[in-house]
Amino acid sequence: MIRSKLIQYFLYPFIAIMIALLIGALIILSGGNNPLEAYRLMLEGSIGTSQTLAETIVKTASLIIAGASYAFAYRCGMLNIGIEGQMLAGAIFSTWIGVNLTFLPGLLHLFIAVIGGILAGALLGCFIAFLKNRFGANEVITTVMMNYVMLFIVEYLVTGPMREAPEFPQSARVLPSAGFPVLIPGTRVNIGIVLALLLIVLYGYYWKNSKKGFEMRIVGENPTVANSIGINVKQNRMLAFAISGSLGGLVGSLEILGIQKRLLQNFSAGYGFDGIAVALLGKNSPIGIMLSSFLFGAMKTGGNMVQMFSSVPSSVVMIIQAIIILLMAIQVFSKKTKELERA
Amino acid sequence: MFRKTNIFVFIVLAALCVLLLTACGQTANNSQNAEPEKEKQESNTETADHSQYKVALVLPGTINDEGWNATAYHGLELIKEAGFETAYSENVKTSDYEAVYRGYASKGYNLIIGHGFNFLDPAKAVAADFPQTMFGVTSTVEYADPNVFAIDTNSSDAGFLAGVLAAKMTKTKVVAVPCGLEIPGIIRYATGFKQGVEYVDPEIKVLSSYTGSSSDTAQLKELTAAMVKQGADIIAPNADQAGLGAFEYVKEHKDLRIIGVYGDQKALAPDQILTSAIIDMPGAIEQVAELGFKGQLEAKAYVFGVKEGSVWLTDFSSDVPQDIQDLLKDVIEKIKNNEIEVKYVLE
Amino acid sequence: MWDFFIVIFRDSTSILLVALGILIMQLGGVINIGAEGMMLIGAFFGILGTFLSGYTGLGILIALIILAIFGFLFGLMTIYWKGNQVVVGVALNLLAEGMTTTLSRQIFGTGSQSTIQGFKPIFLGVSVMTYVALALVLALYFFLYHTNLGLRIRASGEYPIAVDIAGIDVYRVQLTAVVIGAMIIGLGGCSLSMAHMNSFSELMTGGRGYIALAAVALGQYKPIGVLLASLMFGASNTLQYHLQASITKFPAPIIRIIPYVVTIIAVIISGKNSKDPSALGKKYIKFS
Repeated sequence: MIRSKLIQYFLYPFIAIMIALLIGALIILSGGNNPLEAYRLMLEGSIGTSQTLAETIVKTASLIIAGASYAFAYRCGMLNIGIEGQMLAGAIFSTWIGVNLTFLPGLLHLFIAVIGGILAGALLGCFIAFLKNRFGANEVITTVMMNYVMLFIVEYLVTGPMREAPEFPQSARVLPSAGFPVLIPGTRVNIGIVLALLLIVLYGYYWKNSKKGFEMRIVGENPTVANSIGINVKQNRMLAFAISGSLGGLVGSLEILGIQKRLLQNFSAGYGFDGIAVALLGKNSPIGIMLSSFLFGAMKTGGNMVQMFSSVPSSVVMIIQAIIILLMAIQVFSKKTKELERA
Repeated sequence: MFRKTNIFVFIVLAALCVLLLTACGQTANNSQNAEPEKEKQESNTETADHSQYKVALVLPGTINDEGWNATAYHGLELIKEAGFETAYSENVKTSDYEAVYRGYASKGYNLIIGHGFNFLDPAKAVAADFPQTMFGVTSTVEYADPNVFAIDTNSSDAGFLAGVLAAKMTKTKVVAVPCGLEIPGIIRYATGFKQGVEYVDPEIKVLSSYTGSSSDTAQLKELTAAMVKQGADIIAPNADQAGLGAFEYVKEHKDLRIIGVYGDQKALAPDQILTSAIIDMPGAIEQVAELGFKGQLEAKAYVFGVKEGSVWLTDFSSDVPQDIQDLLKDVIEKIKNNEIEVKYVLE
Repeated sequence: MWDFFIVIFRDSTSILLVALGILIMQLGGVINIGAEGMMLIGAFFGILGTFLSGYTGLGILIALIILAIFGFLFGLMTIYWKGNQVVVGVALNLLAEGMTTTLSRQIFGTGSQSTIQGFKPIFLGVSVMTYVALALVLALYFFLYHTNLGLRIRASGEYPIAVDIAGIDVYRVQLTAVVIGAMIIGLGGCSLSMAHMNSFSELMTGGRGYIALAAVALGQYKPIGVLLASLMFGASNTLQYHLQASITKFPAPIIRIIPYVVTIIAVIISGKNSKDPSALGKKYIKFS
């Protein structure tokens, strides 16, 4: 059992990554660059020095939460493509509280700002679930549309009401009291990673051991059956989407309060979309989400380093990343397809 | 079954590789072409050996955007030709600004330029740890002692010149500025444009709006179309790569005229372009790098506008009558003499 | 007023084509988040083919061949190798972005040298692509409801077990749907780069693939419905452009929200009972 888990989590991904890197090497080589040098940079840029490892951890934290957000709705049978929008909503509220509620003392300020972000995400999630429950609106459409709506609302806010100086489309800086405390001095690693790990453990417990989680799983697998054995499908969907949304909102809070400190146009690093891939690649299991988040985080920071110090363009790095994801996603090497799917 | 699919995998992947290989083959050629140029450079370097001075450029968008990012990249290419050691990163996400600054600084880069006003916070955050490195931030006038300085190309000047020309040339009394992202460089261009139009004739209507995208050409084309519907006959787009959409629309309607921006955009619509309002970002970056090489960079705002000779208009097309050409030359002189003051900020 | 209609049709052609491609894939039970990437690939290779050969027809042919290859790959990875459809789609978007950017810079250089002679408006102010798209709506209607293969595709998305029991190779049916769908999506990309614009620029699709995805669900998985949904989106978009051009004092971002809010309202009005194929996104494992 342990051995098969080990193979599932480490051996297959390892083979996939190796093959992807081999193909990538050919591409880099044909571009007239040295693939070994590029890979050395990728390694150095992702886990090689304390500074870069710290950056990878910062990204991993956001990705874990985003992945958990997608997985939560997914396990209840819904597709939340709108994490990006919920993230923006969370960022807006956290920024507003972080900038304007100046009278709050230290940690309370941070706490309220984070809660604000979570609530904003949850509200948006509830709205989507409400549209689904009340009007039968397909959540894929509504979430995709809400992503755009939120994007434009952020744009409106930073070019209008929340703008700091007339010509700069950005909000004022959040007060230091509302910032996430830094965990390791000299880096940007903040308590976000602790929060993320805590949440993923809770997530694992919820789906494995709690009664509510079991109920939701039935709703996800077969709503008709759930209905017939007396489970309130609509209520469960509402709750699942609210939690999924609040996690999305938390990603936004973390990004603003922990890293960027102000609201900008296009501030999103795309965690909302990466979260989808992270969750599905990790097969919605807590360990899987953690590992794939780390992989994605490492690929992002490593990719940055490659384009910074070699003449390999970022678009080639992107191709390599895509091949890694593709090879990890397909299950040519695993014969236990059926079992994995049920997990 | 599985063996069969495995063979499939490799055939398919091989096909993919071949596809990419053929493409990448051409890069190899490019780099060969580049080498003789390098030799030429070496023979030309009579002044100083710049190769010990390392300059890095961090771009929020793609180097291929025909606008904001492309012009900075051209600047980097210029100093690379002058012998500086250079590096760049494109499409960098805002959350990575600080990490990228730190990465370059820790590898001993002497001058790191972040191309956009929102690089200011990350620059301040990193600067204290690397006192030997100069951190540049464009499109802002804010700076921080001792080693964060501002590079500001004055796009409102460029907008003003374009506005004066558009106001003089319009027959319908409506002119349009379809814009892409709502960022300082573009906002100021639009503001300057409005001031320029007002300077000539306050009665003329200026249409200006933003699509919010620097890459969606089709969207900008439709915005331009809608503006033309409102009566606009002179178009002055400022939307980076998406600006191509405006050129595309203008080319389909021969009675419209267009004004280019940043670089000389004559090639995009040779028969209908009136002129291009040059904003010499490459020159600005070159000057800053040269100052840095001499060790003369200070924490202050370096502004590059009409007065500094960094903003001008290219040769006019034959559609522009001589008296209007003269008027514009006069306007440029007046800006230089402070007789006309172009305001920076909207409202 | 007529002008307004022309703009609507011009604006919605590419979305309509992409939506039709997604429609046929999803009816076969395969979710396609990768439509954005496929569209980008189509847009690029259409231009490249035309640029190299000098004929728009050849350009489109090349784009269709490349898209058939990508569709085949997508199908292999999701149907045969059981890769998660959404993950493969996301990766495909990434791959398309990286690949088109790399290739376009190597072939056209940095700058806009990819300009070609694209399609001109031929009749009533819109190009041939719009008519192709409209014809495809009818063709797909016929194909999906009145041919054997069409029925099999729909059955594979609705109830694959039944298809399997009937002795038909479900995988092959789905793969066919994916390949055909990918080619139609590629055509959508071509219409954006070759009919709406006359050049390729990086990331020029600007999220249209996702909009098309929504249009398919909004159109309740019927070709005519998809047509109406695409036109509705095009119309609200056109309205948005005109409002932006005429009301300059109002904040632009708020006006730009209009098409998306209109879509949400449309979903609310038409929403009751989702028409998603029952086996959409689920991996089917054959008996044999």
